[in-house]
Amino acid sequence: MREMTLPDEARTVAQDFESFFRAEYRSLCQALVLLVGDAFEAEEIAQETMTRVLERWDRVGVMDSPAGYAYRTALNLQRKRIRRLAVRTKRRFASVPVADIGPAASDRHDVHRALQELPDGLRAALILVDWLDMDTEEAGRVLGLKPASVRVRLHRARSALRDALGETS
Amino acid sequence: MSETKELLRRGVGEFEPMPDAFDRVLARRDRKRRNQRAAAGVLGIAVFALAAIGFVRLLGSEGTPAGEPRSPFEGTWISTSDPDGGTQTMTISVSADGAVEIVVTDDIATVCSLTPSTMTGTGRIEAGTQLVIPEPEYTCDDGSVPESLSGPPLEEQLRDWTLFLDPQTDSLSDGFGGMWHREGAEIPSPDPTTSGAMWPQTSLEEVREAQELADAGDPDYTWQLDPNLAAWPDSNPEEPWGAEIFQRFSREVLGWEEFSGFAIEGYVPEGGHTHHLGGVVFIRCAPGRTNPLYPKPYREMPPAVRGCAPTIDDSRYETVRFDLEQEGRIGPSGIWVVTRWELLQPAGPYSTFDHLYPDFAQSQVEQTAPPSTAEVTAFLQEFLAARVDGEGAEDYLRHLAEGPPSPDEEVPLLYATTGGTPYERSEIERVQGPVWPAGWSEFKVRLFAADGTVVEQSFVVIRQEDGRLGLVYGFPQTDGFPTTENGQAVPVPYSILDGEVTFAAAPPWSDTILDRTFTVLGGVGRGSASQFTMFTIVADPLTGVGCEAGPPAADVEALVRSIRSNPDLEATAPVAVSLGGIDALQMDVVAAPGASDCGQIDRLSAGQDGPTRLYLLDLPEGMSARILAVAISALESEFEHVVEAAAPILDSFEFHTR
Repeated sequence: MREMTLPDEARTVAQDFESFFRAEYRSLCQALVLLVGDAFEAEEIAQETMTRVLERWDRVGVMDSPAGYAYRTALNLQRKRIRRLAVRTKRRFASVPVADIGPAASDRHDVHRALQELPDGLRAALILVDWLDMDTEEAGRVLGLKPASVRVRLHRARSALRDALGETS
Repeated sequence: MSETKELLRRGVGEFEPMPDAFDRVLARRDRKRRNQRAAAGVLGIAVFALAAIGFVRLLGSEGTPAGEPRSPFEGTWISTSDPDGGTQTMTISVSADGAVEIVVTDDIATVCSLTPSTMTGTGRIEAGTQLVIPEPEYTCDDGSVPESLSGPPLEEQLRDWTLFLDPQTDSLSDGFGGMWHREGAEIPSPDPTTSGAMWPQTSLEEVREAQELADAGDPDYTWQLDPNLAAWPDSNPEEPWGAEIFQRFSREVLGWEEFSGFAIEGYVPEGGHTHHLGGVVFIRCAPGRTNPLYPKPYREMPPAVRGCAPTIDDSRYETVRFDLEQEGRIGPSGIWVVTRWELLQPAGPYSTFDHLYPDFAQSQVEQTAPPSTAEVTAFLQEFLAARVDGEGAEDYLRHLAEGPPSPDEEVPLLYATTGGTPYERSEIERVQGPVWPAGWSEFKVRLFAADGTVVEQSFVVIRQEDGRLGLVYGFPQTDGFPTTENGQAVPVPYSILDGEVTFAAAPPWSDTILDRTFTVLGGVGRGSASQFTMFTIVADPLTGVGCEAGPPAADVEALVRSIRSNPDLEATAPVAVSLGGIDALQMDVVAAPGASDCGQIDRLSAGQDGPTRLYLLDLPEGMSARILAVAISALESEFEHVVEAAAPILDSFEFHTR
């Protein structure tokens, strides 16, 4: 791995931040892969999220849940990105066939397609709770929803996902 | 593991983040600091995503009088590209007085439950090759009402419906994926040589045999082994452009003598080995030719593209996209095959968004000549002069994408400071650019007012489809505040009820939900507490107790009664206050002990995580809603601080009756 040249102060901040990064980055990326359906889009958002967390690490690092801050930042970035991608995405989905790159990838595409068909709010609730193992209260804080609303969304999302994938509950 | 989690695991697959992700974050942060801006996101995208840019084809074209005889748009056009299988026929006529009229009939219209439809409209020709119909009228021939299946109402989707003329093919495209050809013209069939399947083997059986021969050391097949590809990017994050299969494929299949690879859309690792590369993009370079539009290698130009001149014309590159896979065995001893390939076609029309966020793996790569420093400087000086003069600056501005811009995309303080002092001089600072292939550059501008106030903003200068320069405010992934006044962030104006209610909020307040009757701002609060902060505005909130939603309250008094009778809430007695000059009631609400999850006021999240201060007011006659409810919610420890931070927003409320 390439070694960065950083001033002393920046290095200290970066070292503190690094342990957080190592612990959370992979999970954040995976959650975003599920959320946006595209690995590179996901990693781009994850990179920008972590950069923002690093820039505010003096404040974020002392929070009760820096990871919660990161996920909220990521969700906000994703929402804004979705709006801006809307025009291009519409065109792209209209003109590009879904890739067929083998059974494993096909399986992945099925899940992504099913996830992308869920409304944003349902998808986010599902990923926070069922993938990241947050409880509905934590997920509610990230999403700005009451826990009961998260539970309702969760139920709908699970049902829709199973229906779309033809699985039985 | 839960059943749903197992499903989701399938969605994640073998995904692993880039191995140098941490270094990339540090580098991105450094880049932001260096530029005092956040352009890093785009640079990060640029490594993997390239796109065609195509506004030079219209360079220099001027507006065409709509009445010009023999308009290239005139005539009957047929489209069979409608996904519902219908045939659309369009008649375009240009009358002597310059009016353009269209009639479009569709024998199968999805929005009319698959019955025939007719669309009519009048419009204008712009830039010679665009026909814009501002307000098409769409009707179902059977008299039923056309219904949009998704997105905004149909009339909104069709507003400013635009047809783009390609003079070379004498065809029209409509921006929704529809292609139109003249009635009776032969529709060109896809060129069979522009795509292909597996190579150099053509079946899995052949791949298996080739793998055995490679294992046995047969030099006709061992070249398909490439341990570096299987180890990429762990072994070396640099893209493996020199791989022999890339070289052979480009020369033997495409017949390209010189080429340059510069984008890989994705890869799939398994067991520590990469076994699939998706969306590998190569462009063909003209041998011995200097890139006419980028004769010198600009700093932001990808190294792989420097010195690569396009082959189609001065702008367009022959572009191939292909996928690679180890079909037989995964790992360093597995042979690689190209599993599919296609020569990419021009995409267009391109939005401003496309220019700033090119997607190289989707369409033919097309570059645009960067405007000269003198041209850009003159353009920016004209823009700034208009701002000093107090009029005409809007003409220079463009938005990122179609549709109404979000509030933070609007340029504040266009002609004067917040105190109303006009500007008297300005200065320009280049931040970065020109950036290949669209040739845009980013600038910081400063405007100085007579009272000493300094307003600083960032803009991107782009070349538009009509060849003229345009300005995009801020930058799509900026993390800073696009406008500062004497170093302080300037409030962003917001509105609900279609502008009947306006207010302003300075960063770090930011929007999370923007809806006609429902807006939520967040982002304020110390530390993790900011997650619980919400400034919520709801028009005509519903009443209701428990989980049963009731009707909208008739007036504020009824809403207050509903809140105070809600057993899940504890509310203070309402106090008379004024909001934006209108009488209002203020009350604080917290969740009652043992409150149920349903004990909420419609969308206001009152008392959910801490106290909530409510402002409730009856809107004046003539407005499109009866009641406005404003809620400031925060953790108890943060409540006073957040209420204080929200005070400027409350002070900014204005009501505009129509």
